[in-house]
Amino acid sequence: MITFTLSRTAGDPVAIYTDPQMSAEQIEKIRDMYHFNDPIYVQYFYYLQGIFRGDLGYSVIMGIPVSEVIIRLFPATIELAMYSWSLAFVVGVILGTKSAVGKDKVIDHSSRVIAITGYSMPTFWLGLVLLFIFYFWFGILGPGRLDNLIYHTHFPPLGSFRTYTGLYTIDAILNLDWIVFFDAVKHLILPVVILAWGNLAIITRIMRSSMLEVLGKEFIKTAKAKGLSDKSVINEHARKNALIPTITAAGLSFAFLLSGVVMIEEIFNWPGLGSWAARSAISLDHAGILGFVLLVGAIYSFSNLVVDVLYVYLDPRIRLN
Amino acid sequence: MHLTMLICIKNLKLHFYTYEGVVEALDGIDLEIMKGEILGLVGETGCGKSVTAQSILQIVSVPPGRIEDGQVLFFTREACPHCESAKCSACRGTGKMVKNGTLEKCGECGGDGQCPKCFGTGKKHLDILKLGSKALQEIRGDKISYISQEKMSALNPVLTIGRQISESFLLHQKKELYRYAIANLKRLRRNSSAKTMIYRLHERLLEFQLKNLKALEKAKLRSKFYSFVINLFRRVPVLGRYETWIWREARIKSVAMLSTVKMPKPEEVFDRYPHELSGGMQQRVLIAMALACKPDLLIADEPTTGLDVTIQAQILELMKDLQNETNSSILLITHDLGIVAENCDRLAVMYAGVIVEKGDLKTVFRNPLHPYTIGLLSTIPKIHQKKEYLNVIPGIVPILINPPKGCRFHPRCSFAMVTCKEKKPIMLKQEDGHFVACHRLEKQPRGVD
Amino acid sequence: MTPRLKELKFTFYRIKQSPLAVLGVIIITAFIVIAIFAPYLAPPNEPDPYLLPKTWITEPQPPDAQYPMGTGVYGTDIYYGVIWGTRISLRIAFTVVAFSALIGVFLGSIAGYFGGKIDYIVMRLTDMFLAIPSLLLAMGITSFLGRNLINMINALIIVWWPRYARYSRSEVLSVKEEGYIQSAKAVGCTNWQILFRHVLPNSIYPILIVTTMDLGMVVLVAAGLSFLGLGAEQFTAEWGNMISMGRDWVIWGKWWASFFPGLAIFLFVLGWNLLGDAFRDILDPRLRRA
Repeated sequence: MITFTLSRTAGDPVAIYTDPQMSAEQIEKIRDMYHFNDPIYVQYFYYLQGIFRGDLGYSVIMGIPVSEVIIRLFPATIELAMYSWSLAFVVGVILGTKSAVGKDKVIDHSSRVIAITGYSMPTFWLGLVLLFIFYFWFGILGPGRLDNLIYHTHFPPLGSFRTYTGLYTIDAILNLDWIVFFDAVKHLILPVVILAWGNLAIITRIMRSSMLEVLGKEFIKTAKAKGLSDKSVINEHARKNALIPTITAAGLSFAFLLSGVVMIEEIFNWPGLGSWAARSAISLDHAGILGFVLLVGAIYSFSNLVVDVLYVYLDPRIRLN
Repeated sequence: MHLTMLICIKNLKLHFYTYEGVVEALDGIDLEIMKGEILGLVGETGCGKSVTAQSILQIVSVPPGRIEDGQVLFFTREACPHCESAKCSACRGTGKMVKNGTLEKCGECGGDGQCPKCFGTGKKHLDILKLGSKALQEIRGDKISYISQEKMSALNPVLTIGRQISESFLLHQKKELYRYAIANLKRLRRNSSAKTMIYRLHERLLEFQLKNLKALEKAKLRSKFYSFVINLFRRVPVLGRYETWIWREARIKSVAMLSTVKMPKPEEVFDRYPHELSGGMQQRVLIAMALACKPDLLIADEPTTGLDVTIQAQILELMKDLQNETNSSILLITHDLGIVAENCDRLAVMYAGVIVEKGDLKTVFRNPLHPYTIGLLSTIPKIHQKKEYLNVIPGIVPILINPPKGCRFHPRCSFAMVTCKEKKPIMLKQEDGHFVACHRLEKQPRGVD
Repeated sequence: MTPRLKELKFTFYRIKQSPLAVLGVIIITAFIVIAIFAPYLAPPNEPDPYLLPKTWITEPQPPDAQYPMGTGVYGTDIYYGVIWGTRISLRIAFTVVAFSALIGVFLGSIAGYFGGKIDYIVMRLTDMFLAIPSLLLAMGITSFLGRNLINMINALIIVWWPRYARYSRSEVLSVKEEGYIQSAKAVGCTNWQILFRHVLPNSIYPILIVTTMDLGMVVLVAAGLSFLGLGAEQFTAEWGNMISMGRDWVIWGKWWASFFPGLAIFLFVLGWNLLGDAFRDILDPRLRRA
């Protein structure tokens, strides 16, 4: 609905699809084809219909339909998002538990500092700075997904690299091509770490406060009274309970991740959906922007759904309802 | 000091450090629990009963709390290394020594002939407050167990009941579990021909683990890599499943435990989650967990509060039956004098962090000596009395940040004297098995103990 | 001492106790001071102080005596930009947060308190907006409105208010059930009186925490938008903008054009986040006492 409203605010929508040189007849035809002459609710109906059929309009800057853009660029972005989310989650949970257990001690304060700096840092700035340090000074970890040389030597038409998923790391393993694998990893390190750092803050903080709350509960005392070592108490009893709110927060932090993706892709010239979205926004490519916004909304809702499902798995109290 | 002492708390002081000030929660507690008895610890809410119990097991939250002083002596089943059958080694139990040619009181034991190191019990004792965490973990759950006050949240909501009860077995009775598992495996192999190879392998692994249980524990501590490898091995599909045999044994034992606490349909309850059970059933589960390893002491913190009267009676009877079977002791913490009257052998009355009176049940009830005890007993309405107002003890329980100086009860005491405001009264023996801490009775001390 | 005063004193004590909170306060004060004294620290550029002074040198020059932080593209004085950017950022922060908080809290509390149809409408509305991450939604909106500082602020307000609505709605829902609301009704207060005198003051605390942190986060998002080219116009002294202007030269080693503005953003956001995070620990009743 949002995308529809937006699209109708920016003046005559036909303008995208027409060329000043076309005759008036042709313009009218296009108007008809896209139903721009019909009342607004009819237009909305066709819009939704179009979406379900997979027709999201035409991206001017790329020259291909929006849906194709999405399909093509999706793997790159997913690779980035996947790794950084996992990194953020794992490290966040560990830091969060350690923080809660050693409350107000060194580990607590230092992890909070790490988390907050990550959260406050403008991702694009950090990206630039690190890019400068590593690429300009040290000459490694450059932008892009793969070194040009490696790309051209390994991929068709010169090489025999077969693309299965579009994720270079996985494809490289499937191809048993270690050179590509390591190169892909090299190019992934910087973006993934930067992206993960911001998310880390959210997850660590939630994990910490939820763990603190759990540790004050009575069953922890019972577990200790049974003779469990402190470590086992945390690992076996406290952790599962503390993860419940954390998972919800992790799903929400996905939003943060998605915004960060745009920045990172811009800086690192990563050919993914994020940089495409940025360029669409600047060049006022309406269809592109709208398509992107729609996609993001869909992904986000989907991830929330996944979180809800996980919730049921973790917390038995919910299952029976 | 008796032959049958199990726990002896001496001068236990515990403080909580908070923003508003230092809460002097326990101020020199002296308490003894004998083998095979049920000791009732009564007092108002907030007088420190739970904290005392938790201090015995050292599960008080230590950052705000800190043990300032005192000893908690736990007498094990091993013999005292310093003496022979509880007699003082210096005077051989006679109580007298030859010094400069004359027969005098034995300096070691103070004349009563009993070994001072083990306080006449003849058994080796440990100071719980000085134990390291490993030793503490071995005692908790195995020799001393604790049933918590909060019934509703004492069980982990995300784990099944069965898992939580089996945990007690897995922690303390590993050797037996292994032996049973191996025996079962042997039997299975003989009886059925299927899967013999795998069973054999599991059996060998179990035997290996059993033999090297201790060594494996030590290795786990020393090298994280080693335990990591073991954990990985466990995930291997067929081979690594040797552990399920142990879990099966634990399951059998847990179900047996559940039926001992008279839980209906124990097999099914094993797989249920805590929120699916009622309050009374959760309480039974807690009791089952606590008694799993047949401890020497069971600390029951307000086991009946919040349950209806019929369930109360059942729970108490359950505990008494189990106690009879194993001859363990129970520390029954409650504020209900009626329960104490029905179930306990001895009684200790607590007020604002100090024990004010302790002794045999009948003695204390017939002849309460401390003003607080007298007040408590008089508040119980008697059915044949006609009264318009119920008796109360005037005043309220003090906040322990700045406790009253001297005797902590003096602001509410109708018999208060001048010394009560200044000096703290010490526990003195008034008659056989009856001790009171009150200045009023100090005029006729019958002996220090 | 009245309980409220005592609690306030306790809050201050806790703030002093936490070194991170103190740091946050220091940073923010520094920024505010810089903003106030901007004309003295960097002589204003007529006619519009917020435009960066230009020369005709295209390549950025390294820091030297005349230009403490070097120059950016076309000779823009980075130092100047950072100083005056403080004012812009503070303006953006307070404007966006103030308006979105007003709208959001108002709508949210009405929705929560009166329930029924109003609640339903507000909920659907916020759902729509919250389905999309803030940055991306703002991107979408600004690209349609036009590239302009004012438009960016408006877009941010539109994006931001649903959060406040959601928050205040849930707070109001839980406060609504408390006993004193019933007593107020029994005494005869009108609904509006109850809302403003009883419900709001008690549901405000967590919102305050979020507001503090949002003051920083808004600037972060605004800088991001400017960086992508969707916010302030060219050559405006806005930090994000300046970073994007100097961006292409970083690979050639001219790092200062993008570094200093970014550092300013970082410290600014850090200050507010530290304060907000410390507030969270201090004001949350469960974590308050040790």
